Formats: sequence, structure tokens, C-alpha cells
Amino acid sequence: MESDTLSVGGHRPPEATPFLAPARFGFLTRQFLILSQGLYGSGGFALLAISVGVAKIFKSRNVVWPEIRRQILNCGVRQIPIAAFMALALGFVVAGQLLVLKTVTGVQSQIYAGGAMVTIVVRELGCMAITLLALARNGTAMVIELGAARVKGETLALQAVGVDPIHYFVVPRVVGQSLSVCCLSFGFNLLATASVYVFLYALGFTLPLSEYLDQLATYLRPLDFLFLVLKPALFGAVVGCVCCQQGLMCPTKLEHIAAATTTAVVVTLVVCVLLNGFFVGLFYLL
Amino acid sequence: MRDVQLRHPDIVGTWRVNGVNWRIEPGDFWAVGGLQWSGKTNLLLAAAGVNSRIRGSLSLFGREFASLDEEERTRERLRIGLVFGGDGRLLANLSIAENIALPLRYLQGEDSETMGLRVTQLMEALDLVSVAAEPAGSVSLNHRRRAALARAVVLEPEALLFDQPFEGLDPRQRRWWRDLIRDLHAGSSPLLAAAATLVLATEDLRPWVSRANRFALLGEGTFQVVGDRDAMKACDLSLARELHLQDSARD
Repeated sequence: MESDTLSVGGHRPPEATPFLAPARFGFLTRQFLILSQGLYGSGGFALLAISVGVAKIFKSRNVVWPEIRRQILNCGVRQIPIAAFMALALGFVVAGQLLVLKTVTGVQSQIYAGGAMVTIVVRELGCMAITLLALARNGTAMVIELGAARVKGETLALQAVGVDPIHYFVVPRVVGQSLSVCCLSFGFNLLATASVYVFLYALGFTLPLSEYLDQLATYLRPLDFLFLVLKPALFGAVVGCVCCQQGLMCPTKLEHIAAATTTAVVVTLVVCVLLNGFFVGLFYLL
Repeated sequence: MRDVQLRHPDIVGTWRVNGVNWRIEPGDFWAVGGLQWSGKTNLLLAAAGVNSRIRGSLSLFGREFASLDEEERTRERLRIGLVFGGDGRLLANLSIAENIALPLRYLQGEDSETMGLRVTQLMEALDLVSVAAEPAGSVSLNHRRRAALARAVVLEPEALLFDQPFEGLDPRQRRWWRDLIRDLHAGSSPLLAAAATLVLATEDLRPWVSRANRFALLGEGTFQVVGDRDAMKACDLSLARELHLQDSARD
């Protein structure tokens, strides 16, 4: 198939041309340069997606909004069982580790259950676990789906009939992924918090429910509630943006889709870790 | 197009086709011949204003494309219908009817009865009613091509560009497409209210020598306007001979 290009909304998104890292650089340096290029490309693409999403928020609602609903169904509703399983498993693991801690140190570690849940699960692990789930199950599928659409020339065909590929493909996925990760993360934290208590009780720890809830209330800050929404929403948007960018910008050959998928996973992880660090810093400053 | 260069898809910094000077007048029926990988699809994409990887000057309907904003560009682009070869480049996750209706639904912003009537009319004219609800990826090549044509004409364009309309089709389907293209140019097709300006890119000029009225050749990085039928028949370029072999018995 002959080439196609993507120029959307008057903007030229960063193209996925192979990075010509000079051979004289070492392996790590080249990987760093390639990663930097990936981050730069993803940043530019994210700005493009946001501008198109905002500018065309009410345009073609009859086409785009059903797509958003479809993405919420795929990225959110259909992930509930696996997210619930992960939450229960995490609750069991935390309860188990508190038991180990008690066994090893003799400390009544269940009294720290509430603090452990807030500090580790609610603030950090819950959001990251759901983001990884979203990336593994939906993000990679996005890269493959959009990469195949690009290779087959469907994106150009859409442009030829006046449909903005960014508006049609990317905006629903970013919005759907963001909302899904946010809601799933919230549910995950709730279920994990509840399951820790249940497993502790099942393992013979006597921790009154009121005391557990008091611990949670003591460790939770108002900022936690804001970040409970903001962080997973942002992480979900990152998954959507990066995966769409890698899919739509990969070279028009089928064999490049696998590499684009791998790049999407790596770039998403790096961006999310960096953002997480930013949120941690912000949390302790405020 | 004036002094247009089309970029090579794989080799950075290399131009695939240089010096395209091409003027398409209303009512023309162009047949552009070129061998595989000569840049036919790129040329059609550039002519339709979809391919931005070009250098030079492109005007659509008398307006300099580079000076238009995005909304104006889209408006001018929609006056041209592009019928892709291969599998028609339909969206695999949508049904045939949804693919055809997509441009109308997207651009009009809300669904209406008129929209539904237009799509139904096209499906009936192109014999697609039986596969309307089927996913685009699961129907035959012939149906996909027809659906691609329906999608291209649903907005009633003034010009139609065909990318290898005969690719992969059997003789019966080729005759059907040949007759349809003739009717589209003559204005007697139910698909469009008025006669259309046509451009088709092909690897085999033989079926079109007696039907098209303007010819061009694309090969070895150059685009050359040959002229009318007489000029095409008299053309002694080697590429013309390869694309216009004397054996016309197959048609």
C-alpha cells in the first residue's frame, strides 16, 4: 500500500519517524534519546487532542458521543470484574503482610491497617494498579486498532470524507479511558479498603470496625479526595493519549505496530511515574 | 497543481514525484496511467487536498489551498469524492450502512430522515441492501468497493477520483464499474444529480482509451500530461506502450 499522512485540524502532529540516534552514543544514551523523543511526541499529541476535544466538544455529538459511551463500556464497565478481583487480592496481600509483620516483630500491626491502606493503597497503589490494568487491556488494544487503521489507510479515508480522525478516534478514547480509570480507581480503593478489614477479621485479628474507620479518617486528608479524582483521571488520559498517538503515528507497515505497542507501554509508564512523583511532591507541599 | 512535488513515503527527504503541472477542468474525464508504486495514490490524495506532504502550489476550484483555513479546506475537499482501491478503506468496526452514513452524520451533526433516505437510495442503487447491516470487514471485495463509492458520493461531490477501480475484480464486475463510471461522467447515474468530473488512476489504460477524454502518465518520478485520445493513441513513450498495449481483445 502506498503511503498516507495525517494532518488534522490544520495541525501537523509529530510524526513517528525513526529516531536517528547516532551510533557513537552508548545503548543507554540512545534509549534515553528515543524515550525523550517519545515523550516529546506524546506531549505534542496530547495538546493537539485537547485542543480538538475542546474546540469540537459539541460538534457531531451524534457520532462522537456514542463512541465515548462505547469506550466507557469497553474500558470501564467490562473491567469491573478484573478490577474487583485485583482489589480483593490486594486486600488479602495487605492483610497477610500485616500478619507477617506481627509474627516477626510481635507488634500489634493491625492497628496500623488504616494508615497502611490510606498511605499505600488509596494514595498510590490503587490508582497505579488500575492504570496498569487499563494500559495492559485497553491501551495496547488501542495501539493495535489505530495502528491497523493507519496501515490500512482508514484514517486518510476519514479525512477524505471530512471526518477529523483526532475527533473521531482519539477524543472518545481519551475521555472514555479517563472516566473509566477514575471510576474504577475509586471503586478499587473502596473494595480494597473493605477487603483488608474482612481478611484481617478472617485471619483472627481483632480490630473493631469503629477503630479501623477512625484510623482511615485520621490518615485521610481533604487533598486525598481531590487527588482520588484528579490523579486517576489524568493517568487515564495519559494512557489514552499515548496509546492513540503511538497507534496513529506509527509507520504505515504492519510490522511496526508491535514496536509501537511496546513504545506506548514504556512511555505511558514513564509519564505516569513522573506524574506520580509530581503529585507526591504537591501533596507534601500543600 | 503547479510545480507540485510529492514526498516519498519511506525515504526521508526524498521526493517521489517531481514537477506535477496539472489542470483539471469541469467535465473532464482523466485517465492517469502508472505502474505499481509510481505514486498514483499519492497523486490522487494530493489532488483531493488530503495529502499535505507536498511542495508546490495546489488550487481547488480556483482557490489556493495553502491560503485557506481548516474549515474552508474541508469545505473544498468535500466537493471531491475519493474512491479508494484495494478494500475501499472502510472502517472495519462499522457496518456497511454505517460506513456510508458516517460523513453525512458527522458533518450534519444530527441524524435525520433525509439522511436515512439518501443512504437507502445509494444502497439500493448499488445493490448493497442485502449487506447493509454486515460489518465492513466481513463482506466481499465487490461490496466493499461499492460501499466505498457510496461513501464517496453521499455528499454529492462535483468531482470523483478513482484509485484503480478494477483492482481485484472479475470481468463481470469490471463491466459494471465501467458502465457506472461512464454514467457518472454523463450525468445519467442515480448516484449523483449532475454529471461529475472524473479522474481515475490505473495500471491498465486499455479499458479507458476509448472512454476517457484526457490522459496522463506517471512513472520514474515524473508526471506527464499526454493530452486527448488521439494524443494518447499516438504517444510513443515506452510507459504509454506498456500501459496501452495493442491487444484490446480482453475488453
